[in-house]
Amino acid sequence: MDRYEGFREFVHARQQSLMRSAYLLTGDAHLAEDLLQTVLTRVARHWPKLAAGGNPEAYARKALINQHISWRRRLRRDVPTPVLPEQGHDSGEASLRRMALQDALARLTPRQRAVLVLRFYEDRSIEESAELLGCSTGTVKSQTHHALGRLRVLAPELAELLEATS
Amino acid sequence: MTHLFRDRLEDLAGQAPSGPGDLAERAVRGARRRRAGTLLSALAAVIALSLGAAAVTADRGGDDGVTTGTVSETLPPSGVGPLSHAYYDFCGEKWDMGGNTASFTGRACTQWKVVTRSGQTYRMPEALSVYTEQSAENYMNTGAPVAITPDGLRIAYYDEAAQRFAVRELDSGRIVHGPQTVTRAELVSRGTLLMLSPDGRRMATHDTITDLETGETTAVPKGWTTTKLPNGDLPAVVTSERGPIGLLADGQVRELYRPKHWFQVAGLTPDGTGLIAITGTVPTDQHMTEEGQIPYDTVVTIDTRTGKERSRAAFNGAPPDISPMRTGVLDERRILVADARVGGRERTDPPTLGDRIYTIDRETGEVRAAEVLTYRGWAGDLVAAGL
Repeated sequence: MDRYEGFREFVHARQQSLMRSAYLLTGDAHLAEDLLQTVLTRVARHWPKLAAGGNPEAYARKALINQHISWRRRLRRDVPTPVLPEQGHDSGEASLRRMALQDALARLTPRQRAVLVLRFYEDRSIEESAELLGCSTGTVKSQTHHALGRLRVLAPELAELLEATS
Repeated sequence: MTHLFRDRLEDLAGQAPSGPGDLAERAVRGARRRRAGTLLSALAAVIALSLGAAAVTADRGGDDGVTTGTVSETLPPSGVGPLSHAYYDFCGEKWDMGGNTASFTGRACTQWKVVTRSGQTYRMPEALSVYTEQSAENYMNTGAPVAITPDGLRIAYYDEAAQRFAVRELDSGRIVHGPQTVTRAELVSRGTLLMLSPDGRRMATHDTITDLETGETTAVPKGWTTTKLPNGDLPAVVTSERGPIGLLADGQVRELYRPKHWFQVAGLTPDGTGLIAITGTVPTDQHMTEEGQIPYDTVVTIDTRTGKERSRAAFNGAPPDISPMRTGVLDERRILVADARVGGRERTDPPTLGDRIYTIDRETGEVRAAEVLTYRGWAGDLVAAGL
């Protein structure tokens, strides 16, 4: 029996969604690919158990967050600036907006960045975010507060869109 | 306005790469390597090493899992997934630089072994490997070559029974033979290079190029050697012993570039407008690097229309001792580089040999470690897909 039965289908179905989160976490296309591949390798190693009764996607998302935080901690000195996304074919204004957000996110701590991705991109509840980050709900609340406050300072031009999230 | 921030994050996430198409296979491969490493460690801890060698099943190589042991299964007629690499290993036994080559005659373990991206290893008896009749003087012409397309879907090899080079599609099992007859004796005496275009449509030896769809064969003009074979109607890259790099189309060579420093051609960009190569500061008339000299530290793109340098980027993030032995084009931006110096530091018996594969971005020079492909043996050869 193939111990990875169903794994390829899982990756096929969830790859892009996980990649988008990885990209928001890392801010860099290459790092996002590396991060996701590392995480999926871990998922594959535990696949028989996850497929039998676990929740592969939850496991993958938790591993994504943990691996990202661990990497950033280790590479903080080596990765000072993420590569900004390449200009697409859209309007210059849209690109500038993206770059401003990207730049501001890059200056947050890994945990602050992760909490914003979980709360505002993946629409996770405070409880779910706490579970994924392995911390208390109080910590999620305070990290969110600090992250948003820091974004306002780092990127005043984003104030308007942050207003509603307070 | 409530969802403004989310919309912006969504917009930003839309810039995420789609990722490689074979992400699942890569993950499975990584998991298998870890598993093989864990199993090997466990075995080593429990039983003597000599018993362990017999118990290990061949598996894909890596930093912690090496290819070793007996490969009993032969390549199925069809339905084989993309290949990662091929290797032969002289049965893991000592080979004294041509002195005992004949002792391997008739042994299946000298055959080329192919390894799929998902970690399956098969022997390929139809592909000639070691020239067991080779003389000790000509020991460097050790065996018949193979070539694998970058996507791993096709392999070119020498079919001794047909006395022709052939290309096999791994999935369908379709085999196309080249029209020219080449005897084993010719190969043993003079050797040859073997190249396959990425789309598998063309196959080349050092002095001929064959269109496998039409059967048409073009002789490479005297003084030139086929070096890289791109897709379709793009010219082949040829080099001269005198140094120049040329482009061969319609039987004619157009000299393109005369390198002043060591220069290793990776190939043409997929659109054919650029020739990508790695180079450095070692002059072409210097045949060996001196202590402290780095053979290659820069990637350049030469405009195939003008012959002028279009871009140049110093390697960024390369290991200080990187020593590329083979290069190929991966995509529009990146080339593949193989550093074949995996062996030497290990003290295992037999040692671990193989290639470290890197990708290099031709615009930024960014070097990224891709994978390590290994086998256990005292001597042999390893050919990675696209290299």
